[in-house]
Amino acid sequence: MNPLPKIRQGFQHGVHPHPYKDQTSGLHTQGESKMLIKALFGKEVPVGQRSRDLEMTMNNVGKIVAILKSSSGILAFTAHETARPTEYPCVRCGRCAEACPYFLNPSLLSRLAKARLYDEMKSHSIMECVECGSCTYSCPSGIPIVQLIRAAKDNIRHKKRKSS
Amino acid sequence: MKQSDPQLLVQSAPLLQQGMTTPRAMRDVIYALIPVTLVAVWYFGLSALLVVGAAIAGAVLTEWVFSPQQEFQKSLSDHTTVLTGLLLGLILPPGIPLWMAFLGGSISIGLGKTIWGGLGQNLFNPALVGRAFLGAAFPTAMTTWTPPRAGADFFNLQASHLSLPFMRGEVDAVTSATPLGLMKFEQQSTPIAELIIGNTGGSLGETSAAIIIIAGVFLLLRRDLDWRIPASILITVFALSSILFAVDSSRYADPLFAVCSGSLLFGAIFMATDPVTSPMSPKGAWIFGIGIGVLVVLIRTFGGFPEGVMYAILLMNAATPLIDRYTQPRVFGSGVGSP
Repeated sequence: MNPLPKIRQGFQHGVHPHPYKDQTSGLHTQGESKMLIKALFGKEVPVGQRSRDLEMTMNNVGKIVAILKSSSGILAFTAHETARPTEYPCVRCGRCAEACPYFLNPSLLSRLAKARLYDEMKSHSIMECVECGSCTYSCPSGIPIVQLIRAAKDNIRHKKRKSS
Repeated sequence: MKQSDPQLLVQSAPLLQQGMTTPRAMRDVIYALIPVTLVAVWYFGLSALLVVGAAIAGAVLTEWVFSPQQEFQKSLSDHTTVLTGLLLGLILPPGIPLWMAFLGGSISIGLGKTIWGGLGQNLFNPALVGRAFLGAAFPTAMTTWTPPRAGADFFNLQASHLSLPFMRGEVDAVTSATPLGLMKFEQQSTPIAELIIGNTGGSLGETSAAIIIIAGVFLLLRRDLDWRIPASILITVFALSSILFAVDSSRYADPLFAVCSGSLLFGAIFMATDPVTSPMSPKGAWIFGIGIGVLVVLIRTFGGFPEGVMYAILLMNAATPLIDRYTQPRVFGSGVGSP
């Protein structure tokens, strides 16, 4: 069941709901903290700022100990399910842009990444990407979009570190 | 006993993929065009198959000539080459010499796709590039319409089919006009029922409104096309034609006629929706569709040609990069004031 409407209502009336585990577990599907803030309060965390700047903090409720994001579970898939699909050229269908929670243009970013135009990627807000992977999941042409973006971001950070 | 190593594959997430693939979408469009082709065969006999076959042959052969050895298999496997040939064949007049249909297919792939850098890179719809070329090069053959025969004389081929390149072909004794031509030059309307079943003169695949709509619904249900594009085109044409009809109903066609006649439905459903040459964002799709609708009505009403769908789509294809640039979605968290 989606607990969001109930919690949102609670906040609007100044009642802070108890962070019951069963009530909030559904929120994990919202994933990332900025998305959760948008869903609960209708506020977007401005580019370049953090949730703290909106006087908010997001904690993983029901779990007092911080968990490592990278080791939260083991997923079992068959070889068939995880086989990389054949890659076809991008046909600009727009499904990746439709899927992107940050309203980026993954199609454009993947093209730029393949051409190694990292500066141009920066001007298209590549650093806002949270690497959720919705673009790769939704791409009918089987292009590893988020993987390309990830590699480009690494490259950009690496350059920045070198120059500073 | 030798133990086999476990097969480890290190990949970066996400590992899963939804089931929709680009080749599947293209194959769906080909499936949707099969009934349209069959209706064309019903009305125009063996001619329909020959013209479509010649266009596909031209497209595939050109793809083969311009593909590197290993690439040809792959470029055929995404079905777009055959689809381009098929689309071109269906928008040609039934009596066109076969060598012209073949040349059109070849131009579609060569100048419409390959020269831009292959699938996904072209600015203009390849099939329409082929048709625009044929229209400019062979204006007579491209505006000679044969009357529909509705199942009769299946094997009765037209002599014009087999005319040799650059020779004056035999002129068919029987020609007819398209409903739009009759409307424009003789102010003579065609009953809507005829337009729905397709018993009129016109390009092979575009005469029957009913079968095109059914094919479009199939593609919509399969989520292969963006519904906004055909919807905005048809709504715009209907609205503008209604205004013109209200102003002077003796000179202008009624809106239902405007929507069902010519290549409007075929163009709106199969041509304008090509993802490569249409805008990416939903907002862009609306602008694109409305632009096509306005241009179609303008060309039909005030232009020299009875039909303007091809030029309308090509012009909006050219505007697509610009539309894309101005309809970029606002990045999350940008443009909101700092607290």
